[in-house]
Amino acid sequence: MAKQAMFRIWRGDSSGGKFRDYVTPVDEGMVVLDAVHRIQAQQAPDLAVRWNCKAGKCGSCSAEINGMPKLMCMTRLSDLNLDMPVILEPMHAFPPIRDLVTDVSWNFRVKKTIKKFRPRSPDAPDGTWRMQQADVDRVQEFRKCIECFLCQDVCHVLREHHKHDEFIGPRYFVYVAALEMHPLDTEDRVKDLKDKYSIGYCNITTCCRQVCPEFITITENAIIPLKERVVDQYFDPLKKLLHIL
Amino acid sequence: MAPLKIESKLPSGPIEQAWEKAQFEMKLVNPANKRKYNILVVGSGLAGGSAAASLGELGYNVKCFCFHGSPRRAHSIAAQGGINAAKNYQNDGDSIFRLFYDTVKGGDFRAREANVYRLAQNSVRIIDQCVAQGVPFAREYGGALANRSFGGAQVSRTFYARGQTGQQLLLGAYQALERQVDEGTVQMLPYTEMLDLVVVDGHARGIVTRDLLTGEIKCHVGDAVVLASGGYGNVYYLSTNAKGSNATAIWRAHKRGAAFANPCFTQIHPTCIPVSGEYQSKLTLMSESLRNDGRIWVPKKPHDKRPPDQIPEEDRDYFLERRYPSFGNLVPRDVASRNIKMVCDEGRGVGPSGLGVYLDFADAIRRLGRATIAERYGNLFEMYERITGENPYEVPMRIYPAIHYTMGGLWVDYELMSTIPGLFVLGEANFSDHGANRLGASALMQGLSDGYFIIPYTIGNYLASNKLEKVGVSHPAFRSVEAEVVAMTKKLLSINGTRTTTSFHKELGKIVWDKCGMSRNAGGLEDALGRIRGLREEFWKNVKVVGDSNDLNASIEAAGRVADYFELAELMCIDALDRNESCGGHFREEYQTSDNEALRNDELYSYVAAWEFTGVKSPPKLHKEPLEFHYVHPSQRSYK
Repeated sequence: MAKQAMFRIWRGDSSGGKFRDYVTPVDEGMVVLDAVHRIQAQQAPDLAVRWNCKAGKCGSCSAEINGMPKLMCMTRLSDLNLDMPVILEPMHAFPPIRDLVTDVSWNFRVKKTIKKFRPRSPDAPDGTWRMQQADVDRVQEFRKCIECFLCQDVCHVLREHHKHDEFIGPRYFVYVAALEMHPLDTEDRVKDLKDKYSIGYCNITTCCRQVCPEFITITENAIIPLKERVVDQYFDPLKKLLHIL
Repeated sequence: MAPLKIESKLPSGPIEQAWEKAQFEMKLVNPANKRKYNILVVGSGLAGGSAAASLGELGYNVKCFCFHGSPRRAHSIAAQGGINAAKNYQNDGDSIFRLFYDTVKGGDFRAREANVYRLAQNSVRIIDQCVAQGVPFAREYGGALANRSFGGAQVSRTFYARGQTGQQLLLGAYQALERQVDEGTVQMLPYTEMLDLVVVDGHARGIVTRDLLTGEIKCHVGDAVVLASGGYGNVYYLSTNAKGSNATAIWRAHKRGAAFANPCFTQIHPTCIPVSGEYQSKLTLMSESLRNDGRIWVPKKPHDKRPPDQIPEEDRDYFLERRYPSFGNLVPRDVASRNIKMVCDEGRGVGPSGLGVYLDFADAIRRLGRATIAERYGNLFEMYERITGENPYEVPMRIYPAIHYTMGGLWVDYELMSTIPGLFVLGEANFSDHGANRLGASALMQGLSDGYFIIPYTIGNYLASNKLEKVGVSHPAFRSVEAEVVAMTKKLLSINGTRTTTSFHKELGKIVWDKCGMSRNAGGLEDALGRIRGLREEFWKNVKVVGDSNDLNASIEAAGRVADYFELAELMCIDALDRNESCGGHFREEYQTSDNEALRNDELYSYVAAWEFTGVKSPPKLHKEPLEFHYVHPSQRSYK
């Protein structure tokens, strides 16, 4: 490759900001984060970017690349059209701190409100449990989540409608699913899903599933089954009829 | 400062009962009194998270410091393969003694027997603890826990959760920690990095931290300090460690009087994705398990630039299979790494940089079918393809060794206390259990053993045995350490030179990698020492740190860390130069057998090298803790 590319990066903080253009050479095999580092090293040493593992596992380097929520460390330049400027912005659903860094602490506060894991008593006299691999696999998919919050960023309920006080977002439906569908868990979170977490706001557009860097089938495997549990428990017409009778 | 004392407090009597006996002899803190003690835990990965959760659950008042926004970002999540435990579920002959034996031998007889035995005992309980937290370990068809085999062992004792065991265990510890945060026993301080340790009357009594969002420097007082801040692999610049992982907490504690043990024991992992360009900031590890089915080779002729599929069988050298017919591609990490370096040094390396060898699955795919390989390694192949853009089902992977783990760390006694009373060190940050080489799937085991099962006992013994005077942040010791921290930040900002921190770090990393990496020799180490000192001086005259101190400023964070790496790198080279033998990850070219294997010198070097800090420009003082082996008799490792 060995050519030049332009990166249009949002620079600013909570009081506002604007895009600035940086032209930098790009080589074969580079990812967006490498380009950001090169810009940092040669042109903008004060450019703030948060990153840590560079292997798509820590969930720190979330940003919007050409308008799509993505991990910078896992987006290869060869997958982008470098004839056009590559636009880099912080996530929109959360308050900006500086440049590409956002304040995602709302998510950690939400997590605290979700009822914790409560296992059933052990199955065997030696204090151990038996589980089928199929059940393990089901929760393992949800537990792959790296809390990059790209799904929260793309979710229109948060991004456009700012329902942060009422709605917990796809990430935390995945978390609730990991607990509710855990073969050992005995806690009940269905009422909370309806009343506190407003799962009904989700109209299954699948945007969250499409941006998930861990390929978790958020909508189909987590949210829809949880919606079904809410419906079964609270909106079943037959049950309602029985109640009236 | 009181003279430094190395007292390992190893229990006497039969090793099987040693830990139980030690636990019984330890003093206890009355349950009603525990909440009167404040404990500062630095780090919230597997070791720190499990320690903070356990101490909170016991009733202590815990503050847990995390430099990320959430404990889940800790680098423990990156561990792929698994965690060892001597459960013997497979009925294949495993036992606590065998795990103990394998670990001491794998560490090339440079670890303490009693510590390792306790680790093997605790391993069994860790699994139960984690299952009860909901960790989804793989299961057999009957619903019981499954195991797989791993390097350095002849039994299947590794428990795993697909390729993400570290993340699953950390979610367990994180959840336990959050439970205590809810209970009010643990206070989490995110985005807070420890910059120094405060010692009052010879006891660790607090830390000074920087808020990474606002730059605020703050003092925290405690009755004990627990460091679980990880290893120092990032001294090498390019490593598989996460970029934020750093040595500042342990290094500054070292400068306040904690001895640093075996700094030259660093582990190089053979299967990493090779360096691709000048601006690469970090390396990525591919799991060791790939060597079960992949065959490692290079062209026979140097500088053979043909693509791999055009190099016929007779022009290929499967050098590990050739040199180690019985272990083949499965030789331990240190042996594989050294051999890869050797063929690359001969000019037979592959890829654009010439620093790489092929890890080829073509034979395995032919033999087992693509579906089986996908089932075993699918997620790893996918990750490799996402990073390199090459499909390993069709083109052989390219791998090269990289720094991965550091066995050395702050010296601790049997109770995990450093040479500063009241300063405890857990996980990769201490030196305790792996000797000169760590076996696969043992790091997670050690971190959790330290955090869940050791520190809850030993910290009580310390607190109950010491009457600590009440101190506050206005104590002169706190004032002066805080002033030093502020002055250092100011100094870094005022240099206003012409070179970035990264360029210094990169240069330092290259020196350490070349001279104190996979193989070392006296001449190279002396040369490195001179160059490191020169570069350090230049750093303090010519580094450019931008921005303000009272703000989110990655430039200041990095400069402070790199300043510590210079001093630590020097100590690593001094230690490597002093240890005139080869053992585990420390390979001195002068000391090898006729077939190029590590040659230990048990007569002279069967000890832990604990270094005392005496000043940046004055030579450190060596204290030796002799190692005695009563149960596992030192022998020459052979993998032929």
